Amino acid sequence: MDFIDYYQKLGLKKGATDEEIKKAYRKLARKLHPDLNPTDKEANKKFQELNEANEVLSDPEKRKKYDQYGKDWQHSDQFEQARQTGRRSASTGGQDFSGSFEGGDFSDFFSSMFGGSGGRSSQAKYKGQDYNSELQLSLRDAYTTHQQTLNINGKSVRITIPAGIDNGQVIRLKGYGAPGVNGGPNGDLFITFSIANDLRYKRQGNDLHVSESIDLYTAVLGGDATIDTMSGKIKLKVKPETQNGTKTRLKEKGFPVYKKEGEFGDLYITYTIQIPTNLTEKEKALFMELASLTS
Amino acid sequence: MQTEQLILTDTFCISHNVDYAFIRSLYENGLIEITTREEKTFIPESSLEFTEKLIRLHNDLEINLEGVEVVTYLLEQLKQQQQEILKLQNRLRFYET
Repeated sequence: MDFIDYYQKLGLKKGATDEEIKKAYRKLARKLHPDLNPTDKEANKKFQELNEANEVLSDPEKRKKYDQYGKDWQHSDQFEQARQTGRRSASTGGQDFSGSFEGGDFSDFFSSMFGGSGGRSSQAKYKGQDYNSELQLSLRDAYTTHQQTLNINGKSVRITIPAGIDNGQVIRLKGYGAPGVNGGPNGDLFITFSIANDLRYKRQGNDLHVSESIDLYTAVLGGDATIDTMSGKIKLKVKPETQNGTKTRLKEKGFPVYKKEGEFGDLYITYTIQIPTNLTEKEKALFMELASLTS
Repeated sequence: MQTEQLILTDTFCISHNVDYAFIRSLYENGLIEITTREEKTFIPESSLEFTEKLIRLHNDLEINLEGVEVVTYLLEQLKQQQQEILKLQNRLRFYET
């Protein structure tokens, strides 16, 4: 458990006045509030740390204890015991630190020094913190509707990933975030899908593009070509005199359309003509003969 | 027929420790939806999350109604721009090797 410099968290020096603490907290809260930083995965954590720093420094009693024991916070238990004894002998009541401040779960450092784990002063219900996570998929994984089991805070959750999900797309699992406060609803889990590029296929929206090699003779004379698609092999007729870079569209052989069962994009095939190598003497002679015919 | 869950505005105000007048002004400024049934006002469950977000901005950051409205508008713009960036990034990936 590391020491936390609350003054540093607020960008202040140790002797900061109450007014300076308040001002620094407000300024940083407006900058770090999770609702204002929806894409920052660390926003909740940063805001929590800021609240924790403010909770300690804006409370004279907590600040005194923090300033007194600071880096030697491990000894604060003895301090606490001595203080409790003093209270009992004087028969005076005392405010319990735990659960008397704003914020969710504070750091272990905070709990160790002030007791409790943080909470809200009122009995108001608050939605739990949302969690964000990233899930890596291959293009082939994204092609079919499939199920995956995720481990969320030690709990196995089986989710169905619909075919056609896009790179960067986010899905929300309601109630799989942090537990709510005072009986409030649980937060949600947001999963961002990261789909890796495929070596063979390139995806553009719902369309797929693929480069297919054909030999010179098929390109010149026409013939059949067997093409691998994501839904299996298909046989294509190659027209005679097909040029290098010719593009053919296969309707509805592309990527599935997200949440539209049975709908697919198109597959575009670009032909790359392979020029024969290691020609035999006979082949060379025949090519020369062909060349002489065209010149 | 689709049914919608409604949350009594009074219950929401107590639960979130917020003044009814603020909820009313959010509604009057077109920021949230409120349904009236038998002289009682309700917040539809579908807009609960958004309403809670506005309350957080108001309570946590002490932003007034006008400020909440501006922040909401800018956040919506930011969201649209991020979606546009994502779309362009995906198109760019197509041309990358």
